[in-house]
Amino acid sequence: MSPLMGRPSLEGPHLTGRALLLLVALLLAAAPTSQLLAGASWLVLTLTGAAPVILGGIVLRHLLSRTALVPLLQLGLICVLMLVVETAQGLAPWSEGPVAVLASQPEVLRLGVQELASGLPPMVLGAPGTVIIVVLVALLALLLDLLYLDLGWHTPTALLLMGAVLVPSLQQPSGGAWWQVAAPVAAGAAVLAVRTVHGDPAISRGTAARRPGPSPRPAAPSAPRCCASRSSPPAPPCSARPCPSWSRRGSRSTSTC
Amino acid sequence: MRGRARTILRPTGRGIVVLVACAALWLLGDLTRIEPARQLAAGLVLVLAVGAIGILVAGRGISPRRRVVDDAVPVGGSARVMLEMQDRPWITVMPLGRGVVREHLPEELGGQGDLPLARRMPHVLHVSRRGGHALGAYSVLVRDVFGLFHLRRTVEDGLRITGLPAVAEMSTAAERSTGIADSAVAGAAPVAGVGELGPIARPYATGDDIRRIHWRASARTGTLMTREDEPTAGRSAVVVLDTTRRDGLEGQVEEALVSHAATVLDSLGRNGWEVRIVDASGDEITRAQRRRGVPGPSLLGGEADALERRASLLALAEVDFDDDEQHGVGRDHAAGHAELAIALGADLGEPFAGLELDRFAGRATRRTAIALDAALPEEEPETPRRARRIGPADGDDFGHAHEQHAEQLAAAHAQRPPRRSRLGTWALVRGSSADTLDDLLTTAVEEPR
Repeated sequence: MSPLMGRPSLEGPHLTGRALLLLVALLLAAAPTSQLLAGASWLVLTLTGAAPVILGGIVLRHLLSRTALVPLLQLGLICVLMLVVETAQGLAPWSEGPVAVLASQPEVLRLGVQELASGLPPMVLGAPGTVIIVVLVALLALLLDLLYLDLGWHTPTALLLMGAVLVPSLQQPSGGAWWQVAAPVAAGAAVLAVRTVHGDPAISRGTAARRPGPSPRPAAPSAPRCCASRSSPPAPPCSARPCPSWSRRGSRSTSTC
Repeated sequence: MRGRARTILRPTGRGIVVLVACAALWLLGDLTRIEPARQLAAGLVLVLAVGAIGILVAGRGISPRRRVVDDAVPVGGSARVMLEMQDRPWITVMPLGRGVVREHLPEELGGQGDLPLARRMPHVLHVSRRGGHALGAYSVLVRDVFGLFHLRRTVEDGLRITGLPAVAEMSTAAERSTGIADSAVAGAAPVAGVGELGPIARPYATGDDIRRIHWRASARTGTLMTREDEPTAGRSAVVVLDTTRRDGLEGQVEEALVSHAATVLDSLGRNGWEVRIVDASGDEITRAQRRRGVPGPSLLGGEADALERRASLLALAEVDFDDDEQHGVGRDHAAGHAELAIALGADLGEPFAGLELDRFAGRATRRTAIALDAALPEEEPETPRRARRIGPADGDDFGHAHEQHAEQLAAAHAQRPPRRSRLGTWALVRGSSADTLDDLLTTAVEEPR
């Protein structure tokens, strides 16, 4: 399904449906992180990071004819998202100008990494930590979006989503509640089942001459032609006998040709 | 037709990856005492188990049978094929997996392709070349809901479809130019005398015109008899198809020659001729009697004509251009008493080279030779394509290849119109595979000497 691999990309409702499924799967796969983050922040932060990337990807794929540019633009979207979150958390000094905002980024990242490294679960995240988590989730969403929607690699996507069970394992080696395991496994299973439930669009769409294989629909009933011209394929002979025709339901009927 | 089936059940690449991941996670959990690793391994085992159960259940009731509805269709036409399950497959009732039927068709029938699995799968195959084509095996492919296991049931049933040569219609002008239709044809049978029944009287059949009842014969026999029109003179014609193996002979020329032979055969039959078509070795390809159903409205005669016509077309469908001179090219085994001779052959510079056409013609007074060369450059054979999957976005956009091909043929025809000249006692018409028989016989211009 990849424009990068020379295969036709997903379009229309197929794209939207699978992208929304990926968003839901990401939210499910984030369940184990509830052991690390206090309250409902695991869900809110995952939604904040993943939704703009995935939903933005849908919009961009609808707008752009060259879908290979979409991941790059999604990367730009993540930068914008980071600035928005920093602004909301009061970390971006807009009063000092855009240059100052850019200059403050290394400091925000340093503080965020320091906060995450020194914290103990369940953590109540501060502003820099929140920015780091949102950006990490967004980058992970971009990776899965690329794997799942662009490359069509469902197995790695599913295994990565299921692997979320292992995220808190160093902090909580004894594991968590049943739903914290079941949710990522269900997310992975849903991704694995996608092609069964919803088949890929045709890989090739060509002309009649190049279209391989049988035609699933029987030709519409028509009387055999009695003459052949240079512009038409050879015609079967015409007789005065009734000839069977083939209805779309596959039942035989009789007409006179 | 139900054929020999063999079934293979195996894990997919994804299934193997999941299996390996499962084992690795379990080992990791044991070594490091990390419980989530074991939990994840258990989850993967559960997924594998669901997949295995799904494929076992989905594989129940898959007993396909395929039959060809149209076993012989003209080239360019579509043959109807019915593929159905004898039992109701569970997969069509419960969404336990995804299934397709993959037909491994030859390129002449469209190449390999997939059909969504259903209880009944009527479909059509486009026949693109003349001759007998084996449909090849077909496989029912089923995958479980997670795509972890793959069931493949391959059936070989040995079915065939024959691509018949195309039959066009000859115009009256073309028929007259070759002598097939004569403006003043005399009846051969003598006028019936008083009390004589005349040459043909047959029992009355429902649908016969009341005006055609043979009252005299009816009175004699005591049952209603219908009068058939008597035949014209016992006319016989021979069509020589130059099937000599020649270097540079292209498929389009072969197809055009055989198509023209079929057209001539049809036209001769309709005009009351007995026809023999012979190849370059003099072997008889097919023979057709004078049409029984022509011109009378006889149903039985029409049936007999249709059967004979089908047999002739089937014989022409199998014609190969592979006769060589070592095996007696040019000698007719049975020249007969043909009144009309038509020769069809390739034009590779010297038409009918190595063929003594006069020996085929016997005492025929009307002799027409038609030689064709290739109108279009031969297409390169395409590399085999991967299977086409049928999905929800499959459109009906068939493109414009057909129209483009027709335009190319028309351009070739306009560029090189047919020419008329002499080849000994024969009227020789030289054209290309783009020309119809009417073009060749009615619009040919005299070639400057």
